[in-house]
Amino acid sequence: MDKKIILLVEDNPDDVELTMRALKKNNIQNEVVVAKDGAEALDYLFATGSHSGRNTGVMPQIVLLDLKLPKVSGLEVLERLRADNRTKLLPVVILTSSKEEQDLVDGYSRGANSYIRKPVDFNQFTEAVRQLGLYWLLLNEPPPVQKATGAKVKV
Amino acid sequence: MVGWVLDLPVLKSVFPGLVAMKANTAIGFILGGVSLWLLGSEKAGKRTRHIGQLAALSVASMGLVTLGEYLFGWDAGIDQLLFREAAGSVGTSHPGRMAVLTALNFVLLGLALLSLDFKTRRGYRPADFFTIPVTLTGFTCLTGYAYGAKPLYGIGFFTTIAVHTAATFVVLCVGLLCARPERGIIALLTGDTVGGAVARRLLPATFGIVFLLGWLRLEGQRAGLYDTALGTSLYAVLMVVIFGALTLATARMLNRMDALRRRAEETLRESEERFRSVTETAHDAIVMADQKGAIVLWNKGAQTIFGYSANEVLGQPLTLLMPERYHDGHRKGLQRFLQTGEARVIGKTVELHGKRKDGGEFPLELSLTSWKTGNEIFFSGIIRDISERKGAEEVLRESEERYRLLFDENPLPVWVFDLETLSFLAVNEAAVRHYGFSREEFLKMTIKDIRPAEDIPALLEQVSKLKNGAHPPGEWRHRKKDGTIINVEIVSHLLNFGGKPAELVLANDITERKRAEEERDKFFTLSLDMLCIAGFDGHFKRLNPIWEKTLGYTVEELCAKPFMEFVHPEDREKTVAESKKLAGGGDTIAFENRYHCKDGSYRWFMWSATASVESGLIYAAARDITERKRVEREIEKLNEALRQHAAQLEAANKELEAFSYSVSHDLRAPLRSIDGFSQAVMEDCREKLDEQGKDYLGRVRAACQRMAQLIDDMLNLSRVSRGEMRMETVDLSGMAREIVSELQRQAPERKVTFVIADKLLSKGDPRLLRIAMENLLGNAWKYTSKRATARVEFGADQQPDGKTAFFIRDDGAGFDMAYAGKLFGAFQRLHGPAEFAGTGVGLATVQRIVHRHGGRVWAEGAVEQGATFYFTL
Repeated sequence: MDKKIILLVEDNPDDVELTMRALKKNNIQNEVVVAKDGAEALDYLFATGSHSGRNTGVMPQIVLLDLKLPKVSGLEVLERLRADNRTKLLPVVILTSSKEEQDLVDGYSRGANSYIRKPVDFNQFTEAVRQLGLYWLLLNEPPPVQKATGAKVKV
Repeated sequence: MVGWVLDLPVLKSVFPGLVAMKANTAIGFILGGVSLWLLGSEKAGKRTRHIGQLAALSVASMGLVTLGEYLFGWDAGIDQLLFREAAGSVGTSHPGRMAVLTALNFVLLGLALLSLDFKTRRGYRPADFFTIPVTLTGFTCLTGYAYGAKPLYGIGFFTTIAVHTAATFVVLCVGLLCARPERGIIALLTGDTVGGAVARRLLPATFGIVFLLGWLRLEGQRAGLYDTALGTSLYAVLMVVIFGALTLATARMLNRMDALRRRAEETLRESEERFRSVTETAHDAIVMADQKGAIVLWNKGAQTIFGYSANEVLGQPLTLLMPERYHDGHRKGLQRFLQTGEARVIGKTVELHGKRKDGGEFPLELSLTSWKTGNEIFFSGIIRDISERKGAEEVLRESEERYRLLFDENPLPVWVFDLETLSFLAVNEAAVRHYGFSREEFLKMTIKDIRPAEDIPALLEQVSKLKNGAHPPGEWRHRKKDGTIINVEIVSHLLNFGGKPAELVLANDITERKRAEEERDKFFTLSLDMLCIAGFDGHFKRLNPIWEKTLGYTVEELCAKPFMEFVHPEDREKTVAESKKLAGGGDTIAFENRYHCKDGSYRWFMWSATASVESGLIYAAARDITERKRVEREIEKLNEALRQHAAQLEAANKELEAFSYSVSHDLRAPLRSIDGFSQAVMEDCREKLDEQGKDYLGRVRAACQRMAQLIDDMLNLSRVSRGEMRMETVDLSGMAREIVSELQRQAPERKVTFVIADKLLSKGDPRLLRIAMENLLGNAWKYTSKRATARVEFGADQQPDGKTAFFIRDDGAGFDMAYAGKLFGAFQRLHGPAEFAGTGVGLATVQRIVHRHGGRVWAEGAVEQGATFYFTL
């Protein structure tokens, strides 16, 4: 398996731990990069801050994005990704606790590719992660990697 | 006859030795006399006439039979029928048989009597022809007896005519001729003609003188006074002298008559000439008509006036000259006049209308007379065309009419009364109409009669002033015919009316105006609004009583000072401005200011006002709006409070939303950790955990699920309360079917019969109604889950208030009605989770949704008897 990176943007360490456990239970052994907040996610993706120098030619296969994040919120992150040529086609799955109508509308309207609500029941959560991995990592053909022109295109 | 009956020779033959009148002859005379007597009068009845004619016929028959006896020598047996005469009587050929001439005379006499009223076409009267020979025969016989010449009264050996027979014949004949004096010979003798005069003069002479002279000459010769030659000569000379003289006298008489006649003719001609010239030169039409109404005379004037020539109208009926409408009257009048002599138009001059040849009508004046000529009645009329005169009359009439109209058609009652007697001398139509008295009644009344009794002294005083020449207009009370008292304004003027001092009066009924004024005054007094009249000088002039009640000042106090002093000092400036606007002709609408009360407080007034610039007056109405002002302030305060409250509510809502959001995200995360790690412990430390430990962890996880469910339900509940409603028509029946099929899909093994009414539609928010329906149907599904078979019904009922109530009915677990009030409370449950799962939020959600739609939700049920949930929208 080549480097199909999963970027998990999640501030709650419990959720990180449970997500990792679910991935492992489903034998998904891709590299998982965890960003503790929105800012870090953006740093990683655009190779800034603590991630400066990272090769932006390599982009995650999928971004699992929580909405309620410290510093920069999930929706803001999404907005920034979609506003940047390098990340505007990047598959983003919103993985969050809420199923508030407003969150769904906001998420999709900013270009989320999918919206999954984390079930409280861990067994159900594991099942959700399994299907998520199967779909986005195996079935789904990712968009071609964009040239890092740095030019921002309005979406 | 008497002679024969008594056998007296004197009566039979007059003189002895002379032949006797035969009995049959006497009968013949009697019959003839009777016949003449009966037929004598022309107006005799039919019966009388018939008897007379029968007698005449008998006379003729008797003569005819006797003649037959002589001619044919037979004896009919009538000669001796009544009396026997001795054979060989004097001058008698056959005993009892009358003479031949007598018989012949009787035949003629009978025929004459029969034909008494008969007249041939040429005007001859056969009666005369029959009578004359008889007369002559009689006369001849008498002459024979007188002169002693037998051959004159006897023919051959036949029976001779008795002397009195002859005389009777003459008498009868004269009687016969005189029976119809207006006709025949007698008419000739008695007529007023020249012939009549001559005949009357000559005939007696002819009969008398010739007979007398002849008789004298014969007797003289018989006495031996002269011989035949001398006698005849004397006779001739005397005849010549007498007849010569008679002829001359007759000629003179004729000449005299001729002269008279000529003079009469001259006079007549002159009269006719005058008449003709008059008729022909007259401008008037002179028309004469006969009694049938046919025109017989038509002069030039008539031609000019009517346009017809004489040829066109002569013989035509008079109706030709009249308009159609007079025809009937004319015919009836003519008939009436001819029958009864009653004349309506004759002898008078009347004005009528005539019709010209061209059909045009024109007014005419007709003088009609009638006269009688013989049996004919004639009418003559003098007709004058009075079109022009009418025209002039019309002008005069119109002029009079105009002046009359000024008086009569004056819309105000007008009259003239005599200043001395106070009698009405003239009244106009308006007065008649207004007061109810007829003109005739008025003219019999005095002006006192239209006053109420108590006003009469004042009236008399006023009249005395009028005589002095004062005519001030005034207000009076008058009494109509029906007793109604009216107020009038009188204007009068002195005039000379037919030589008498009189007063011309115009009366204007102001009753209504007075009443209106009184009414206005009443309203002014009663008004709850403050009414006032103020001068431009800044003072009140008139105030209604409510002012005193409102401000506490008396009207006198209010009028004493300029009104501005009562106005609140802060409002004075704008009040002055408003007053100026009014004085400039503007109107005031809804102007507000404050007025000072005697107790020191102020009251708010709202004004409507208008001004009469000419009279310098302001008319204003004010309403006390103090209370309204206070209420307005109160409302303003309440509104302010409400605004604050709303703002707070909005803030609270925002907070609630943030809270919900936070709950949605943050409250679930720990649950996930608890559940997730409990599961991890179960998996990773399976060997280290005993059964009890595993059970506890299971409980932890179950609690997590419940908690997560509670949070979700809570959020749902809060969500139905928030958010906009999108109202549209919702097909509840269709919605129910979708929900039901979803439920059945989840548990296909269950045997539940769903009965869903068709076409239940309602206005509402489809998303919210779906949540409500899901909850209700879900409940029905859930609470029937312990039944082997179940029945769930969705339908609608009409409520007493006319609203439609939808219901969902199941035959499941039901509930105790004692707890019905708790059903809709959030997190309230009637069953334990072991019995039926649930958080107790569903019905609370339903209630919120129904309430948000302005509806009502309630439930009916019994334990183990099913439940019915009703809702209206």
